[in-house]
Amino acid sequence: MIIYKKEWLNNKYIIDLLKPDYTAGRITKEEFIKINAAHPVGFYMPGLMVRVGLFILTLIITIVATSLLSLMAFISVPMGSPGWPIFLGVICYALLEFLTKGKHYFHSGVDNALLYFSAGLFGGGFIWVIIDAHITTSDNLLVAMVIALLCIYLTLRFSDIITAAVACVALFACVYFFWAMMGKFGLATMPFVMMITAACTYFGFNHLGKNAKSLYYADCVAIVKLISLLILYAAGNYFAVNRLNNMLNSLDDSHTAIPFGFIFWIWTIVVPIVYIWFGLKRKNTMLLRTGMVLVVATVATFRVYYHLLPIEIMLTLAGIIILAGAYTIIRYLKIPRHGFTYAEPEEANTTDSLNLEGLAIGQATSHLPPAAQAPISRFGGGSGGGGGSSGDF
Amino acid sequence: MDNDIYKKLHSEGYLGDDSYKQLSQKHLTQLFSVHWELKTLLYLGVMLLSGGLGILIYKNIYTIGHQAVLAFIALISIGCFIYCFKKKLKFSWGKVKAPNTGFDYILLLGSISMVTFVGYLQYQYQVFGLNYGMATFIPMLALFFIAYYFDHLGILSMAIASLALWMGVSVTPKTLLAYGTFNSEQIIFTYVAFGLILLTFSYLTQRFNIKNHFKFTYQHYGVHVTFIALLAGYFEYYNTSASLIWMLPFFALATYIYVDAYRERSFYFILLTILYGYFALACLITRGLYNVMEYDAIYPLLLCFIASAIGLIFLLININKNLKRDDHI
Repeated sequence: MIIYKKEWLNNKYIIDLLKPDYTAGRITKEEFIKINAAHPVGFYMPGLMVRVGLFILTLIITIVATSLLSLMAFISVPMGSPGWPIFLGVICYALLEFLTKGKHYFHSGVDNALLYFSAGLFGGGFIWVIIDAHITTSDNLLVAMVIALLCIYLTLRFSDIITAAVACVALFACVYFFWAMMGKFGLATMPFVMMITAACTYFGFNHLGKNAKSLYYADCVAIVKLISLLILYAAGNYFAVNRLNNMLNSLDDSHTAIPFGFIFWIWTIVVPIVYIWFGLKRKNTMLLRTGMVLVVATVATFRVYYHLLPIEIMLTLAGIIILAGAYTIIRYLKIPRHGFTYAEPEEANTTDSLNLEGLAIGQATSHLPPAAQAPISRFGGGSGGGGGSSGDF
Repeated sequence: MDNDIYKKLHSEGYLGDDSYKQLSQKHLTQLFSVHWELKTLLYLGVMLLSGGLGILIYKNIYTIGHQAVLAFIALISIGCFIYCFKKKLKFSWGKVKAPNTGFDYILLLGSISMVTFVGYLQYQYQVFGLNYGMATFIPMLALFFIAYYFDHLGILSMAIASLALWMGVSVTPKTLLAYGTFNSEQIIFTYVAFGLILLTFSYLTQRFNIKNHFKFTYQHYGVHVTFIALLAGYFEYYNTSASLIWMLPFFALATYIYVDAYRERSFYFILLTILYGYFALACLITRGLYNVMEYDAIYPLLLCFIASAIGLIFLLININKNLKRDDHI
């Protein structure tokens, strides 16, 4: 299903896995070079700046080219068929397939731009078809389903996080619209259905992420997990439920009471704490950070309904408490305790140029016949002492 | 899953016994870093506290009195600077590391409160009278001094912004501040000059090796300001043929930045020049074709855009191949 060469994806995973180990000094330079040479990755993966440039330029080209084609096609006939965007989408998609398959582009900017552009054209075309069909009862559900199917296909094929995120949101929308069709009962139980769906998605993908088969989709699995965590919270957030309730029953926003309100208050307050707790317990960055962001959401929700303190007093007090708390924890973690540390994460070091090109040169020269012994030692000496370098990193 | 990979690499002989042992016990010994989380909390705390205090003072200004507020701000600023002078490492023309995590934040707080103090003084008591140039010049000098003395990139950015303010203010002080309108011709020339000053700084920084790591900041602001000011000049005089004169320095500068960035292997600036240059070229082509063909120009124009963008993509890919190094900004 996936378009990329699986062997290279495996190799890329291995290299990415070992890079932090190399910078942290757990493996030696020779081992890393050897592994690097034995696991070639043939994708075209330029650096960030080039990717940005290629993305912008490709987007310009596709926009100008599609408008040129449209202009030429509709100079005499008036615009008016959903087949046209789909046709343009097919052209874009064909080009995308050719570039990724033939030229081995791997999220290099060009293919990203083509992917999003063709997805947009396909999606727009299908929505156009649905609107033209004048189905009034399940319009939204159908649109969400089409988008979900389209993005699931693209995600499976190109392992792209943005299409994965769109697919995930569209699927949640499907569940929402489907359950809303149940009428009064559906609307009343909506928050709980969404909670259950989000929780199932999170645990399902958490399980899937541990499976070796999902290795090619690690980033996609992560983004789906993040979105389901957020939806799990939002489904029970008092503010969200209240506003949705008002909207669906066409009440104005002065109504602040909802049936079983206390359940949602408990949910609003407890969920972020649970996230942070499990984040710390499992040492899971995603849970911890999501929890921290959601605490802010909870405080904001609380303030919409209850004004305990004037805003300036609250800000000042919160500032003092947070500063004092953070300072205490930093002092406490000066020496690592319970497996936590305040030191910068070691992955940060890999952004400093880990010069693989230089390593490859070192690798190539080390195969030279013994006559070239002298220059080799000079190579090694240049980049940090050859064999004894493991401690330096 | 990861452990399986380690095991496989070990059995294939790529990993030595020592390394394998370390790797397989990694999850036992590895520490969980909460560095960024705590830093974010610190930052949030400072923001909330200063915001809260700001509103508190604003609401109670008549009971507290301006002098008390001024004294308070001055006290914060002085306190911060005393701390920084005590803690700082030895000055050097190279890069100097901050002695601890809090240092940069405290220096920033001191600088911001100093600027606030001067601004407050001018706003409330008109210390500098109508001499707005002086009112912005003094903080600017102080900021540049602090940036160099304590080696702080954030304060360098603040100093550059106040340089822009000072230049803008001293060119058209009254109209700018009193009516909010300004003579755009004069402003464009000022900002071209401002951008060129920054680019000169960036050149000198590298040439004489004075705080070499400041070069990026100077060049970053300089490139954007100069390119945008030159393009603005071009459009200001669009209806006269004099507008084409603006394009000469534009492309001269683009060539210079491009060559410099290529030598420095800085992809950020290569990309900037390419994108700005592409925009300028597109404007020129549009103008030329429109003059020749009027409204029929649309087809060749669109084709031109496509062809040139494809050309640029190949150029970028090619440069990337030639530089062949981990790109950095």
